[in-house]
Amino acid sequence: MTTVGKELEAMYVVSTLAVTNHGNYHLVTGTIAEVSAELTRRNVRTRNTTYIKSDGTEAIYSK
Amino acid sequence: MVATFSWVESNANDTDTSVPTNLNLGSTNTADLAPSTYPITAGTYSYSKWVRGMWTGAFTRIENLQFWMSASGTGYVTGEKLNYSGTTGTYNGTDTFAVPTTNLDAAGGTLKAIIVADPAAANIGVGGSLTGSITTSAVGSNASDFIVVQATIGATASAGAVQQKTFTLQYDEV
Repeated sequence: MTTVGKELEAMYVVSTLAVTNHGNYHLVTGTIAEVSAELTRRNVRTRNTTYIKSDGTEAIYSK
Repeated sequence: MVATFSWVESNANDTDTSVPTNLNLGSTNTADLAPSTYPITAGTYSYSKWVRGMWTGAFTRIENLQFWMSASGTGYVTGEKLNYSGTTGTYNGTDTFAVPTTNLDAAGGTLKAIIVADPAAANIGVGGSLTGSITTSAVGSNASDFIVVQATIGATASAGAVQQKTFTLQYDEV
């Protein structure tokens, strides 16, 4: 009898991104990188982003 | 003769033959997903992973399957937890495949916290039994029961990559 071990590796990334709909605007929260990537994905121009917290972790933009 | 081992992942059907090269968890139901492209949002669950061991080639018997998380770097980050379907206790039989979802415990309420050491006894079954064995390489009869793994990420988890994990499936070949 032979005992054999086979391995498989796993990795994952945690996101804190959250997007909530407030009717005429969305609230996007997350890390700076996450918020930036989400706004890019949604094709939102920076000038349409009406507010960004000083720590860069929150953004609100109009529809 | 020596059996040839491979992992098999099911994403759509229990007969899938996709051979994964990793067990990356994330927010999509795909083998070998890119973690940074499909991150798990804090406060949610990953898609469950349904994998099996499969043996081909010439062998007499494969049995005594033991699965555990054999490495996890510096361990879990805050809010992180991994569950799996193995047990050395009362075995409920093989989990009937269901298309993976992000619902908590996609295996039907049977997942437990994954163990981090060799269980020293079978915790993954064959044919619905921990004492079952594989005696043929015929397709359909040459795989273990499903091993289901799912990550639970609490709302307190910070953004970023977690520690890489290594899972080991140990078996006896006769």
